[in-house]
This record gives sequence, C-alpha cells and structure tokens, in this order.
Amino acid sequence: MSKDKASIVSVRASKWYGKVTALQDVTLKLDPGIWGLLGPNGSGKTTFMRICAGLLRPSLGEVRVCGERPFANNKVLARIGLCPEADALYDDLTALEFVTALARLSGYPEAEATERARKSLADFGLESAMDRRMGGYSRGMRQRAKLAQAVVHDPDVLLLDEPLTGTDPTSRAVILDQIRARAKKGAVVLFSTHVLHEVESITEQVLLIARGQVVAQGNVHEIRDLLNEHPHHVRVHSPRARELAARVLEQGVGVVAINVDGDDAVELLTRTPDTTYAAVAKIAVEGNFPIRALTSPDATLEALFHYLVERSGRMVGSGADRGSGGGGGGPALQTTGYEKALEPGAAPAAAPAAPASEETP
Amino acid sequence: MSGPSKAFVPGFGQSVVAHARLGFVRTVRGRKLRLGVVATALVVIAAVASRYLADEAEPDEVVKTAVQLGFFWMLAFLLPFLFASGAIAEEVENRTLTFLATRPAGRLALTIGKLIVAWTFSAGLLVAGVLLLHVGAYATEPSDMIDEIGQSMRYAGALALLAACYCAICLFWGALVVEASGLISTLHLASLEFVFGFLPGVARFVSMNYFCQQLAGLPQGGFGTEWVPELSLGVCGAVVVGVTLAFVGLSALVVETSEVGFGRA
Repeated sequence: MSKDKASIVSVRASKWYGKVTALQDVTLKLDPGIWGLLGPNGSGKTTFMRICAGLLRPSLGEVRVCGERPFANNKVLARIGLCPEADALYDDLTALEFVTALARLSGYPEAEATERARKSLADFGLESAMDRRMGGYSRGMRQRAKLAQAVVHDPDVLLLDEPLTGTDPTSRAVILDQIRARAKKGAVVLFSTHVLHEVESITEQVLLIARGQVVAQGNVHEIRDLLNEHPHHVRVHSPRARELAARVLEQGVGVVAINVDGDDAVELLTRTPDTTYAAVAKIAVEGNFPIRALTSPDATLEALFHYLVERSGRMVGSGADRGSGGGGGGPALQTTGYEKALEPGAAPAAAPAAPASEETP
Repeated sequence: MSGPSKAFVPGFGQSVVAHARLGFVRTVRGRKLRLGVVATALVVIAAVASRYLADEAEPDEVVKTAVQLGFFWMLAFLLPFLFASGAIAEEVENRTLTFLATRPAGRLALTIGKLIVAWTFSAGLLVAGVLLLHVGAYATEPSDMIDEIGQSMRYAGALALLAACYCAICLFWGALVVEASGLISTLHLASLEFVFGFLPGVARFVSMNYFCQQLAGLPQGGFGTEWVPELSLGVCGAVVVGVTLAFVGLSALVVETSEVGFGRA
C-alpha cells in the first residue's frame, strides 16, 4: 500500500464528451482539509469528482489522488470515499445490508464490515432506521445512507457531491459535524455544492468552478465580497420604461448603468439592489408608472461566475489560463490568471452579461 | 486517518464472493426470480400433464421432448436473458454502479460476481426443472425413475453449460450496449443461437444450443440434418466452454475499461 499523503493533484485536466467540454484545463492541488467546490449546475463539479473517484479518465492532462491515477486503480480506490449526487440506492436492501455489503467490497471480513456499517450509520443518525429497506426512506435519510457508505472504510479522500441535497436542518448539522470530524483526522474532503452558504458553514477554502474552468481558489469570504461587488441586474417592464429609467437616474440610487431593451423594458445595473428596489417602487407610485414586471435575471452565483470569467478577459474555450491554482489552503484567493479580475475594486474588463441593447450611461 | 494504514485491497476471491453475495440477496428479493420460477413451473406442469393426459405417452419420450422444446428452445434462452442481460446494464441505468465501481474490490471481480449470480439462478432453475420433470413423468414407474435418472442428469448438465454460455453472452452485451442490452441480447440469441441451430451444414456450428443438444444426446432437428458434419462430444463441449470463456473475457474487458459517466451512472 502506498504511503503517499492524502491529496488531490490535477494538472491541466480536461474532459469532453464529444463536442461538449465538461472540464477545461483544471490545475490545482488539494491538501488535507475541507474544500468547497462551488459552481452552478452543469459547471463541471460532478465530472471533476468522478475523475477523482476513478470513474472517468481525463481526456487531457492528469489527475492524481494520493499520488496515483485513480481510474480503476484498486490501490487508490481503497483510500477514496464517494457520495454521488444521484438519488440512487438499492431500494430492496436495508441500509445496514447496503453499507455492510460495500464495506465487504472494501475488504473487511463479515463481522468487521457489519460493525463498521452499524457505526457509520449511527454516526449519521440512522441507528433506528438501519434495518428498514431504503425504498421507504425519505430523501434526507437516503442522503445519509449514501454518506455512511462513503465513510465506512475511513477514506483518506472523501468526495461529496452535493451531500446536503434534500436534508433538513437537523440532518445537515449531523452531516456537517461528521465531515468536520473526518477532516480533522487528516482527510481531504472535497464538498461540491451550488449554494454558497452551505460552503460557508463548513469551510473557508473554496474552489470556484464555472463552465468547466476553475475561476478562483481561496477564501469564501472574498467570494462573498465579490458577490456584493458584482453589479446586480434589476429588470423593469413598463410601457413608460424609458421615462422611468430617466427618473431613476435623476434620483441617483446606486445605479451604475441602464440597458434599454425595446420600448417597454429597462435593465438597471446596481451595486445596492435593496436601495434600487425601494427607489423604483417609490418612483412608480409617485409618478403613476404602470409596472408589468420587476425581476432580477441574476442567479447569484451563476451571475458571479459569468462575471468572473468575463471580467478576467478569459472567455470559455480560449484556453488562456495556463497557471496553477496553487496549493494548499491559504486564506487568500489564488487566482493565477485571474488576479486582476478578483482584486477588490478592479475595473471591469467587460460589461457584465450585457444584453444586446442600447446602453444609457 | 492521515496515513493509509487502514486502507487495503481485498483479494480477488474475497472480492468475487462479496459481489456475488450482494447479487444473491438482490436477486432473491427481486421480481426476476419469481418470473423465472413461474416460467419453469409452467413448462414442467405442461409436460407432466401431457404425460398423464395423453393415452400412450411414454415417460422417457415425454421427458426428452419436453427438455428439447421447453428447456433447450425456451427456458435456456429466457432464464439467462432474465438474470444476465441487465446485471450490469441495470446497475448503470439505475446509477448504482458508482457504488460498486469505486470500491477496491475491482471491476474484474464485479464482472465475475455478476456472472456467477446470473448463472447460479439460471442453471439452478433449469436443473431443478429437469429433475421435477423427471420425477413427475416417472411418478407412476419408480423403477424406471431410478434407471433413467442418468439420462435426465445428462440433460441437466448440458443445460447448465448452455446457461453459462448464454449468461456470458447476455452479460457482455449488457456491459457493451447499456442502453439496448435487452434488444441486442435478444437479437443475438434469436438469430445466432436459435435460427442457426436449424440451418444445414456447418452453419449450425454457430449455435451453442446445437452443441449442447449434442452433449445432452438429443436427436437433431431442423433443415438438412444429413449435411451437418458429426463432431465428438469432447469437441462439442470444448467449443461451448471456449465461447463462454471468450464472452466472459470480453465482458471483463468492457467493464474494466469503461467510464462510468453522465447518463450512464
């Protein structure tokens, strides 16, 4: 058995399915600790997890887990635990049978496999339900059963793909406690999610991934700052949209730009969305503006990811990033290739997600 | 935890047993076993009923005809298809293969474990069916029942070998063409195994069903029987074993090298 320290190292790893690029040029090194893999749906999180778990091979580049390539490598697989995203279990088995069977597949003899399975299920709060068939489990219980099988063999590398999906607050607390405990013992825990506050609750170390690219690596609080800094889009549909936009500009409520989209819609770009929402409402009432819709096209993180990609001047598919995400868990954002984009107060290199329309500064 | 001291790779035998145990439990609780039991029971009941309802039916003729028509031409196709074609394909489609493929037990053990489970249930039902048929057909003639048991065991042995071959074929197609495992397995069995089993000349040698019927000592049927070259039983057995091992090897190769990706698990 290899004595290599627990780690995940990716060197310019790319993965594509036909013409679809799922992962592009990912370079990073993860040492023991908890790492949040943060990205919108379809950003490549699961692909990266699957490559790390030895289920997929990178099309280009290399991923090493504990110093070795993981694909169908039993030596490495003995040190990996994966909690997959899919809500798929053997519904005709009890949780105890399921986790025991997987412990046996990790090489434990019958008695030890059963003992480990019981402990693992109890750790995740399933002691009273472990003898029931999983087909009757709630979503949260199924999630906990999947987590129990992932840790039953005490892995050095724990890959958790959206582990909090479908869980209630109590379950979340139990799960997060277990994850922290594993990390404290020296495991590398890679925790994927598209919800920022889930990551904030467990770690400060994050990897931001968008459209298959790691766009930033570092401290979660800086990501939060970026979210606040990122101009928020407020879309107003009104028959007198241009007039309304002019009144909003006159009032100066933090709006940094206005996109006029036809005669009956305007999009306001603001860094103070709360103030802007209040101002629009006030102007609409005072000026008797009929409002058909007031929406925000931003989907928080997704908007931030697009913003980061565009602001760094690196469009998807350009292959411009050749830098290393660098190593091991420093508090500051490490964004080789992205430093300028991520520096607080940096000037935007491109307008964030501007629609094709005439722009009124 | 920081070191890998607790992590170890199980031996191949231990891994196969672990995979097989999981498969046995799941099959026993699943619908496929019940379906297989019902299909086998129907064939046995129909044959035994014909023995006692037909006025001059000799038990040995009833057993021989039932084994050829009901077992070689029907159950020998149905049962391996039932237990093997989805053994890997369904794990992929249900997204549960991820749990098995990320364990250090390894993919070769996974393939062999699945094959053992499928073969055990297929062959078990075929052998049990032949024995029940034998007992039912000879129920009124106990001395003949004992005298003829050797022949019935020969039928059962040939069927068990054929089941192994068909399980390997279905497992292979299930691993290679996950999305259409049932269709491709059916096409293979229906064309290469069933139809070719009736063709004249060496074309009949494509069908493992033909070789196993020779091993069972059943009479040749189909077209142009006189043009089919005669082969010794040893050669027939070797061909079936060789083809079985080839398909097992191909299945293992496919599972060992396949990615388990989006839309697949």
